[in-house]
Amino acid sequence: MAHFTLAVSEGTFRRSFDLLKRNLRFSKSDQASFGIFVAGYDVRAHLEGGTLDLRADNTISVRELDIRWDRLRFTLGINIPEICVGGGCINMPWPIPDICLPRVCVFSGNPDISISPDLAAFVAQEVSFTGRVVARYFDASVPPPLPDLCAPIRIEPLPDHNQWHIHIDPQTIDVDLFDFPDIVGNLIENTLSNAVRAIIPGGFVRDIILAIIGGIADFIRFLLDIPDEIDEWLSDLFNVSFGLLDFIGTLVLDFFSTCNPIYRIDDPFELLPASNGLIPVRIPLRNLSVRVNDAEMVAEVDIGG
Amino acid sequence: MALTDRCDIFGSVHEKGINRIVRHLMRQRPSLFNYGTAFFLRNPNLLCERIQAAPEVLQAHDPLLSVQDPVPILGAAIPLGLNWCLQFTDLQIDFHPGNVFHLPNELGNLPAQRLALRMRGCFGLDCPSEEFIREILPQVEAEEVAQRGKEVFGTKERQPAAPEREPIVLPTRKLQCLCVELFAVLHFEWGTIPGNPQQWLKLRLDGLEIVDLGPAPLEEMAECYIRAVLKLGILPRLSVPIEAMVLNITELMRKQGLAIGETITLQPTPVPAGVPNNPAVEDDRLKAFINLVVEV
Amino acid sequence: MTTQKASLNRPVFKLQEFDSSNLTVLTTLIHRFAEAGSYDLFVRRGERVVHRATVNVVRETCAPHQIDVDMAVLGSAEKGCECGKREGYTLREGGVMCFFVSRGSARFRVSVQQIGAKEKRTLLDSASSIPAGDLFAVTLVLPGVYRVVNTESKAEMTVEVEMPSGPYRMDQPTVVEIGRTGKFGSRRASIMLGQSVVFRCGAQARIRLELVKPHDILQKREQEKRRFTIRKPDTSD
Repeated sequence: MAHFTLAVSEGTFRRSFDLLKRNLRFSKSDQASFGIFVAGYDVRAHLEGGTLDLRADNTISVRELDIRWDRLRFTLGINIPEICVGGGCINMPWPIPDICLPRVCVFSGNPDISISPDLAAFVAQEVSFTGRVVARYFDASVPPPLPDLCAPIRIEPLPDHNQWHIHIDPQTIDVDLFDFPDIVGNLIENTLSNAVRAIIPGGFVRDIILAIIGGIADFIRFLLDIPDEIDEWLSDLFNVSFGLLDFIGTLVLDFFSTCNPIYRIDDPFELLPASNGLIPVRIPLRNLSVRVNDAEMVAEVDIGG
Repeated sequence: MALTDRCDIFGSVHEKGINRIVRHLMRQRPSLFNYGTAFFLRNPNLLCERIQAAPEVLQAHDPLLSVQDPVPILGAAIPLGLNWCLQFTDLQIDFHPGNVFHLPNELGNLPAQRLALRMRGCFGLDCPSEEFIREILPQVEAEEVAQRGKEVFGTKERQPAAPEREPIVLPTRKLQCLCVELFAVLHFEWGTIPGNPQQWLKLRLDGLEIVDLGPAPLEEMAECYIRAVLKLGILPRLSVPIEAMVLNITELMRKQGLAIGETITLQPTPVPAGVPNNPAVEDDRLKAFINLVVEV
Repeated sequence: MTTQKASLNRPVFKLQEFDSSNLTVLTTLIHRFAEAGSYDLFVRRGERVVHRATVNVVRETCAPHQIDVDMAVLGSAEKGCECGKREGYTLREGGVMCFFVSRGSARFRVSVQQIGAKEKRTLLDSASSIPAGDLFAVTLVLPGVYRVVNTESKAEMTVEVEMPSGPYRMDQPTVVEIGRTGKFGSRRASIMLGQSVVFRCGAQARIRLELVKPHDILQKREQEKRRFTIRKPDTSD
């Protein structure tokens, strides 16, 4: 029988989980250049809902945890390229090479437009994950593996002394893809159209330029290289190009991962601190184990001789 | 049946674990268990029992005992003192049911929800040699006569108060040691400490017995003194705050970068509404049942 | 949303007349150097020479076949005449130089003289006419009907510039042949707004285009112009 036993009920885990949800706020902003346009985001979110279960197979499961976006500001800056007329080549009789006409551009300079709508009201996502509870011993005398894959996501630096670590090793992490509805596509398109329209002078000149560019909607699609629907393009931007899914996944991994223990305890454990010039009293911990069943998580440890 | 069926957090420690901790404590912090005059810091080999300290304690030159004043020689005209020591060794703890050691008949069987403590205590007192008494006697007599003269001529009241003089401690060649075996019966209880709102796990003394010390009045006197030492000196030091027994959740979340705007406290599960005994001492273990309370 | 107004190339939207003797924005004169040799090139803005260069026409096939000269940027390096400087171009025999104006409202003339002959032989003087074998291209941006006249032969034709109804390509010029008699190969041509019409001269020519029937959008916008009128108070009483 183990010398020390600590058990935490499933209910306690759930209340701690609720506490975490009430207090966790995360935010991130970034932007990336895609040649002719620059896209960025500034997001802030909190967590809601979701259920936490301790399961008999030694895992902890969190299901359908909602990511609520308090702010999902999408910024799009387009450097409108020169719009030119003329050009093309004239076929000449053999053996004379074709003659190509120079183009004349109706814009001089590259005007920029930028839009920054907040799409928070239009998207919601869910995260589910399952993690196995494990205890590991960190031996400070053993150098970390090379390459150290945990280095980028490690919250606290590796200790300079031995420790027991309790981890929740993720088995699966499911994050909903960003899925922007049609209404967001329309919103972006309208905002962009207004922005493009605003840079073109009014009167017949606008009609002519619109005729040249084939309409603003097509022009925007051409500029952004959008093959299909703008909402799908936007979803793709968030899911793949921005790597926001990775961010959410990493956020979960930061808390529950092989790289970051949820609890750590020094070995030897300091029972009494140093005081009045006396060295601290430390006791060795042996055989730390942790297991989960459907009612509780139980950790056990022995005191070394 | 789950350990947390009737509480949020359950913690228990087996008597084997406690006894190992006690052994580490005695070796790494010997000054908690050994008391004596400063003389023994330089002459630990003259103590009643050899102190078995951990190598790191010796390397750090930590004192092996807590230094106390010498026992005064009463009536002497100059302050004189004798070296002495009090050592506790072989400390063992036995949670109910008693099966680590036998209690003396005076304490009976270990009652339910109680723990027993056994230790060996040695009291050593220097017996100054006749040779040294002869040596210092003229000095004592001269001082005695000088003080008497002052009283005769009525000058004593006019003298300013003499500064407290360090006593002369008579040199020790060998202590007279009296070692006895001491048993105690104790229990745990939850309680607060003035000025600190959180709950503490406290150790309380129920009974004490010194084995084979006679005559009876001397035994009673010794037991009374040791009871006072335990109740007022040692046991209050062993109180443990409830937060220290389990994860400090607030601290854990703070480390993860979360500013918690709520108060998280740990409270003992109520008795008997929650559990029949809390803390419970049973099955050779000390068990604590704790509830997590979150307040906005 | 933030925007930054585009800086328009306004002459593109203003010009309604084009003339091969006064090269402006949207016009391109393409001169062919049929024989190897050295040539003097003069570019004039009004009466002032803004660019003078030697064109070496060689038989080496590695030399370029086409050289584009944007006359709008000539002489912009420093103010004043650049006639003292001589730049040089090397062109393959049979190659062409395309003289065009990318921006601005200035008018240019181009002349080319052969060097080495006993007398300087003028091969091109755009102010008077375009020699046979050369091409003159006009990119038409304002929609409507243009009357085209070859003043050398008094021949006429029309070019209709239409508003597109859908996506189209601007880089597909329409070629109009001018025969040896100076007549246009067709009496009517139709292009989309922003496309070019190219006149390939089979004889010496001077070509003028004039917007004679503007498209409705141009007229409608004219009518829709907002005006601010202040009337003098009636004080006759």
